[in-house]
Amino acid sequence: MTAETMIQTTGLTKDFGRLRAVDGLNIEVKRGEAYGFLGPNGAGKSTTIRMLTGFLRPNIGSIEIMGKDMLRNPLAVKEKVGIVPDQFGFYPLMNSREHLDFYGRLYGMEKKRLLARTDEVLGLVGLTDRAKSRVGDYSHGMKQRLAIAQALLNEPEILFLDEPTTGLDPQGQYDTRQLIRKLHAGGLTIFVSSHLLNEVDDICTHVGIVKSGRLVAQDSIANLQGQLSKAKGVLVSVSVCRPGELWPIVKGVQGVVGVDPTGPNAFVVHLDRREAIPELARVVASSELGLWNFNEMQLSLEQVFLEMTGGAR
Amino acid sequence: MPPAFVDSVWTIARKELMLHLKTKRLLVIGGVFAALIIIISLYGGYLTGQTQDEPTYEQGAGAVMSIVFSFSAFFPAILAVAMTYDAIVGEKVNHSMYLLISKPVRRESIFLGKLLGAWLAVALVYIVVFSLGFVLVLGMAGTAPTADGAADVYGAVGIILLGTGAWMTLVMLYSSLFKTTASTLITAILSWLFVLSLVSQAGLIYYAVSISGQDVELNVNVNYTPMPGNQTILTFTGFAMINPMPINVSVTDAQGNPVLNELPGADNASHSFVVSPGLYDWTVAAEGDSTTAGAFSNGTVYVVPGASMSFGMAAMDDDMYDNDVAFSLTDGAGQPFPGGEYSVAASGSPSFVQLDATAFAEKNLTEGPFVASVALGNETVYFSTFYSYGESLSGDLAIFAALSGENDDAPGYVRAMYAINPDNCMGAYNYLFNHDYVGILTMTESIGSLVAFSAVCLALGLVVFRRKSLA
Repeated sequence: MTAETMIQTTGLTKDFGRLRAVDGLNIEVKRGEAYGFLGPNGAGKSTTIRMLTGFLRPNIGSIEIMGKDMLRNPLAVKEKVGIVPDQFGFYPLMNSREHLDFYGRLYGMEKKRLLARTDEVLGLVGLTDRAKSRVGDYSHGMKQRLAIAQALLNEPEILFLDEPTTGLDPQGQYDTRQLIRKLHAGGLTIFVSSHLLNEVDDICTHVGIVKSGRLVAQDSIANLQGQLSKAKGVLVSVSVCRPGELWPIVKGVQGVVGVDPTGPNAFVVHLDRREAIPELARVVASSELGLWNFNEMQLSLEQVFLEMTGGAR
Repeated sequence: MPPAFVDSVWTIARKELMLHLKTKRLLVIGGVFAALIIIISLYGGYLTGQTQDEPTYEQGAGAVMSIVFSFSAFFPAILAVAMTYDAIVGEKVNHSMYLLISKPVRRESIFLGKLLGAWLAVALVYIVVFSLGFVLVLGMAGTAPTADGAADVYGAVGIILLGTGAWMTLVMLYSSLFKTTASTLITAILSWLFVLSLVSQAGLIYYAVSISGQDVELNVNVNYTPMPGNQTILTFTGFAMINPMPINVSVTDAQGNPVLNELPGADNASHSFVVSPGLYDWTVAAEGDSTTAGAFSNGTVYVVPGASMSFGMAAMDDDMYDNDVAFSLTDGAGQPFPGGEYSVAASGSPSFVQLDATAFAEKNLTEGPFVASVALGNETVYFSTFYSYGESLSGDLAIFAALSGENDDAPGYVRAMYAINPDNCMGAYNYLFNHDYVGILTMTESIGSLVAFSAVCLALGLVVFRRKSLA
């Protein structure tokens, strides 16, 4: 089954003077994905999302969003997407409802639909109670929620969020992620840029990793973990009851390729096949060191990320 | 469907207007403005009521209204700068621009909507304040409003708003050009105080310097209608405004033959001579080492029965504030006209009193001579009287026209440079009040130059706003 392509860039490139900030990106996001756009600071994430949302024009390359050419017809695209920029501001003297009314009119929404939709999105982001107080009196978290509300006003098919939890307190971060997950569960395609790995791990199904303006990986998170596991082999974390040398004990087991001690009685055992795990467990358990703890290690997104972006510098 | 272009412009204008009305900025400036207008209106209306026997709008309240307007000359620029300096750059600085451009709206809609919103806010203040001033002047002067008077006042408000709009387009251009509100504000204020006014005056200054020491032809054509059995005395005076040096005055006829030949004169030299009945076409020239010279006549005036005649006086009170200059018109025996003296208090800028044929007819004046005189306070007063029979003596405002030339006389470069100042809406609304105001630009030219100025700034502003990266 091939889902509809929602975002497609071809050779997307942006220069700032002599600096090439984004270099030939080919991004592809399909309907229903929650796509995390990951990269270290300065990798070109913001530049990319600004091009995707029409704030910046690329020097080279094309952007198609829902089959429409973003560069030629940005208004038709903006009508169908919601955008939460990394930096945004409101008019301090206006309240939430006035803001949403203003933005809704700019979407050309019909009055009745706009009123109904305003109530809906205010409820969705939990601002109904404060909808009539001036935005100048809002906390950062409330402004962030209003920013999401205004992006949802037009019932978009794609929601772009640029670093959506930056500057929020833990509760605010949690609420925002919950909200994004809920929206994704409702079928919305999400494109979120972030440098927070746990955030992307938490929210996203797919990930694109960018490094120095180039896309180094793009796939579902599960696939990336699988690929990396294949390349790196199977890792098993083993703890024993008594300190000692594990290598002489396990080196005879078929498939074991190495042991890294990580503590006086803790080790990581490298295997070249998963089938070797039961035999490894049996051998360690019956040795004089005794088996305390034994489990296969899952690669975290962090390891994937560090691996893809060239590891710890 | 994205909203139509006009709809998004209006949506943005509406939001801007609402915010302007919620902000204290408009309230404070509008309040100061209103207070000033109300005080002037009350005072002016009171004076008009005191000095006019039968005040009419044209002669009384109208004249005061023109003072009100000249006091308000600097408000268009101040309001325009205050309302628009942060229109674009402010939204960039507080990042609200990002949400705005994430919507399906053209940049043109944003730019035009913001301009329209600010302009509407100012228009609202102007219309309220001037209506109040208009009513107060009339109320204090005890005159009834006339349709013509109202048309003058609101026509003038319209022209001021056009000038305000022209300033706004310029400030909007700055607002899209600069990165901080401070640099936009400073540039706008400098443009207002120095750059535009200096550049627009530069042509005039160059012209004044270039004609210094030359003969200045004033083209005062004296087409004197003969009065059987009477003589009149005409006096021509050379007058130096900028550089008061001795001046000579000469009068030549249409063939260039001397009528009054370069009599030695002093500063403000006056030369009187008897004019015999006859039809003359004379040119008055003033010569001297001065940047300006003017000529005018005063003295005995004949009233021709049945002829259309206008008569006026101008005075400049040199301490500007106390109203101790008064004009009066008496008959040859020194008696006031039947029905009382015509007089008006003058202060500040030259005040004109014009009596047309109708006014004379009302006084049952059929014959002269009459004497125009100016009663002085204890200070130096420059004055002139001027009058005309029928269509003639059109150059008698030469005292003011000398520097700038009459409308058609100022050299093209002077007029062209003058046209770039959005403050020249002043000239246009003076036309409305004085009807024959002699300025550098005609009303059509003033309005045309404001429209052209706005169009250029608007086009540049749109290009800059479209092309400039907002991220």
